[in-house]
Amino acid sequence: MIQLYIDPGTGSFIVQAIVAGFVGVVFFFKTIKDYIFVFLGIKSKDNDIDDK
Amino acid sequence: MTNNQLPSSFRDPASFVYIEENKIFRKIRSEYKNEMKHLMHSGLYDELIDKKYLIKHTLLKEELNNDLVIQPEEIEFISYPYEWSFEQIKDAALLTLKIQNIAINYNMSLKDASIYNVQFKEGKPIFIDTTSFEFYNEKPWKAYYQFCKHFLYPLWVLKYNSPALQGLYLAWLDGLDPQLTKNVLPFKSYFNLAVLLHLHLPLSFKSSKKVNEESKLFTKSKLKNLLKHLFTTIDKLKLPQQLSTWNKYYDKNITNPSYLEAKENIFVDYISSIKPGVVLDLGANDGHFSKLVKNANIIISTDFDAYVVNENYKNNKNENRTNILPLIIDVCNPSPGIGWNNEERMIFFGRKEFDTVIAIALIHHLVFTYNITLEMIAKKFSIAKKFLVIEFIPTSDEKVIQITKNKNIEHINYSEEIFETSFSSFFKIIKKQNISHSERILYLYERKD
Repeated sequence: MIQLYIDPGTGSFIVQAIVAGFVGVVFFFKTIKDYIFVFLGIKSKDNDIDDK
Repeated sequence: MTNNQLPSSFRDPASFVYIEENKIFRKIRSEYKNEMKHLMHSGLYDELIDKKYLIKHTLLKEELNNDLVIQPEEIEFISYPYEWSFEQIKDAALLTLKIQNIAINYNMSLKDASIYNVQFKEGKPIFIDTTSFEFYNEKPWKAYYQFCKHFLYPLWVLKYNSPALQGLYLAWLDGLDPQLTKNVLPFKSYFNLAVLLHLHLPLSFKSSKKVNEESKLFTKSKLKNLLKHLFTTIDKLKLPQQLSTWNKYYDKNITNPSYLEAKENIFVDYISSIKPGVVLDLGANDGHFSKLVKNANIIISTDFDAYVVNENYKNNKNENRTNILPLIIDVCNPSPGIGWNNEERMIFFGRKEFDTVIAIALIHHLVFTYNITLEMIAKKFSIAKKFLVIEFIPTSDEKVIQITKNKNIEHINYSEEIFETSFSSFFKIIKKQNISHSERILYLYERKD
């Protein structure tokens, strides 16, 4: 069934909450990894959303 | 409302854009005054201008009813996502995320994430909608769904299906629907975690059951995590290495480098003898000849092949060339006017006047592949207000033989003489030179008054 009148925003709010929670955990481990890499002197080539 | 309001500027109640005496202005309604004040005085505007992320503007006046009139800097040439290559769309997406990420630091948030809020200026994407910012309210990002439809889903389709599908933007003005995206993406996309999170997961919330999530707090750090995830997801998207007929054309297909060098020399001689102004390079491939135009205001470097336009954009970006705007344009089928009343997004040939038109190694394709007559081509190219640099390729040329080998071309009126007669209706010859190591001729024409 094509659901024309569902506010796409409703689903998107839940999705954002789930994604944010999920990636929060991922980024926690990534921060540890980055810390170790910095410690070992390995530079990350990744482009970052925060211009550094 | 004013009569000269731009047909594309009607969606945002906060402001609209209009033209007066060929200049662009934005009227900001008094209801949006607080947001505007915060944007200007919180430091957000300064940071975005400093980074060249947002279009600069001058405040002209405050009217009696407290409406503001600002004059934004002009965009040399307006272009649309259905004319952008993969990397251009990707950069526009990353810019939008960076702006949202900065805005949150100043307690503001983008209320929409339309790809039409982005244009290209000096080789880089720039955000043009000054009134897209609203106060951040610790809720999930209102524009997330629109961001997915306008940027994320199309980028996946370009990556997983074909980079030549940018024309989908023409059919879906408000971006790609998630269900449609799911239907067209190949099975291998299921192995991409981001596809599962941002496409399949939202599609699984089909019912309209009321969710209380809306009222839940969505902290800044959560929002930042979401943005960072979207950013890394998009930043990592790469097109698969693939050759089209036209990419690496100059490496693959030019058997005689002396011929190419001779052509380049004549071309540079022609171009340096004129003031090219606003240039339209048709069939520009990866911008090989566009690059040789050093003295132009801007060069709209077009080709119908999405791969070569992508190369063109990447090269200019890597080499910090700022006056070339590569666009996917098929001269036989240029972008139409779309949206409300067919006016919201302008037709390609109605956006700006071109001073100089360049057509290198193009007309034999138009004549022999698309059956367009030399008269029709001459008439079309007379859009050039001042100059035309055009290459004539005789029927004895190996490339013409190649494209006509299965075609009866006896009935096609095509010769140097017919070529010159056709173009003489609109242009006069300034320079004409044979290109050595070939039978081709390069012309510099000037438009007759």
